[in-house]
Amino acid sequence: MISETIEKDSIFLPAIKPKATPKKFSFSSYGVNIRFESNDQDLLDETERVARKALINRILPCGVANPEYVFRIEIDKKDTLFLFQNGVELGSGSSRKGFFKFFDSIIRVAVARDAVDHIFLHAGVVGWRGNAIVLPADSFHGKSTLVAELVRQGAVYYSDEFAIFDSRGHVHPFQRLLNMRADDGKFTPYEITVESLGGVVGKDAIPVGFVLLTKYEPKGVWKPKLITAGNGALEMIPFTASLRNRPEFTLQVLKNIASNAIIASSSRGSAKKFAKTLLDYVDSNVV
Amino acid sequence: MNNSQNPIARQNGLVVQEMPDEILVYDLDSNKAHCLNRSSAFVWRSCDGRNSVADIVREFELKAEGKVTEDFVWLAIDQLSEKDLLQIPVTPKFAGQSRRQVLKTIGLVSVVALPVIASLVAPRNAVALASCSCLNSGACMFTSCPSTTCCNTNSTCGPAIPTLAVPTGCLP
Repeated sequence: MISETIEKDSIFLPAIKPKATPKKFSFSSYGVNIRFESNDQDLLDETERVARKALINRILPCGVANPEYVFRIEIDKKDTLFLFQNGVELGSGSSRKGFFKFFDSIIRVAVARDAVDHIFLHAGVVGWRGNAIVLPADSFHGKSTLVAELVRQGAVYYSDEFAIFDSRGHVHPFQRLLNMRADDGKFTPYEITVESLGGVVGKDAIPVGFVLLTKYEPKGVWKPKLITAGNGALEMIPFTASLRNRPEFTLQVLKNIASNAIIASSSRGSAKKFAKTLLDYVDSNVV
Repeated sequence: MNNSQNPIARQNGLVVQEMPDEILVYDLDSNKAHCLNRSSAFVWRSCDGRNSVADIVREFELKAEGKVTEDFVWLAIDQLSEKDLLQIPVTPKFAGQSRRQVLKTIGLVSVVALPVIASLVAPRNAVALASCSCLNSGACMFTSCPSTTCCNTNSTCGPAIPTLAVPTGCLP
């Protein structure tokens, strides 16, 4: 069905460099079957490299007849890049860097939506005394900055983007490089290693001890308000990628997390000052 | 629903997750999620089409949830109807009344928690959720990114990056 759609849509494709026969790369990640297609081997290789980095190398090459996702990456004579997902054009651009930055997000979201036996919550995560501190938040709300600061203070790094939970509600490491943004008005991205923070990366799945719904506000004041398990699970829903595709499993896992963790919400100020406050709070109230 | 009829909890198109003291409901049609607290969850479970409001009051008290009035149950039913969690909507009993007026009407004297249903809409744009990455402005819509209209040269749903003005004339 997917391949039929692609064949049909190809009629409307822009003029593509007729330099090679279609190349493919098929793999599975977190149980999601994906195929990349391109008529340019270099482009396909770069796509694979980006995907490996985006999915922390959790890629198992395999051939599946009907993958959930077919991504086709094409380049036209003007060197404009085109991205298609299951036959639908998602976007195009002439900046290779921008294009693959976008693709990096797309591929992670695809896996996050359909992951088998796991749910992905958009959140920063650190380990502290054997339990996870989970920080769900939208992009641009200071997740990575806070995670970096917590790691500097001795917490174990798990993720600055996705908390990956198994069916028990235990969180697994998603140890990509920390993605920071420059405070230059352009949000120029840059990456830092955990080692440069003097920290270590978590290796094992751990239970969640504390979920904090917070975002940076210049005049934010730490005033934690405890939330019931039900409302905590509800508040986590906007940060889940799999709710629409796998609602029963997603709600079951959210229940397992919320039933065993303390959940609170609060405003906060700068990460540098707040990180220690948070760890002290967890020491006093959670661990 | 005519308010003299017995309410029936909606079941189709809902994913229901029982929590220790609450119920989490995801509405597949509207893409909304709801958290019913203990009191509203009890009333919702009791809306089976056989129980009248008076029956639900009796059930509530029988299960040692505390002493309540019919208005208390109506407050839950109003909310369940408003959130589309009943098969047939009811005419709201407390329409247009402030919370203070409703509390006065209910005359709550017991320690029973008022029925409350918290709701929110699940996100539609998971890509923006993940990174605020974009290749065009369309990807920035319906997001909480720094900009909902602009896809800047860093491929981010953020403010446009100003280009430096290049002087064209002769400097003095």
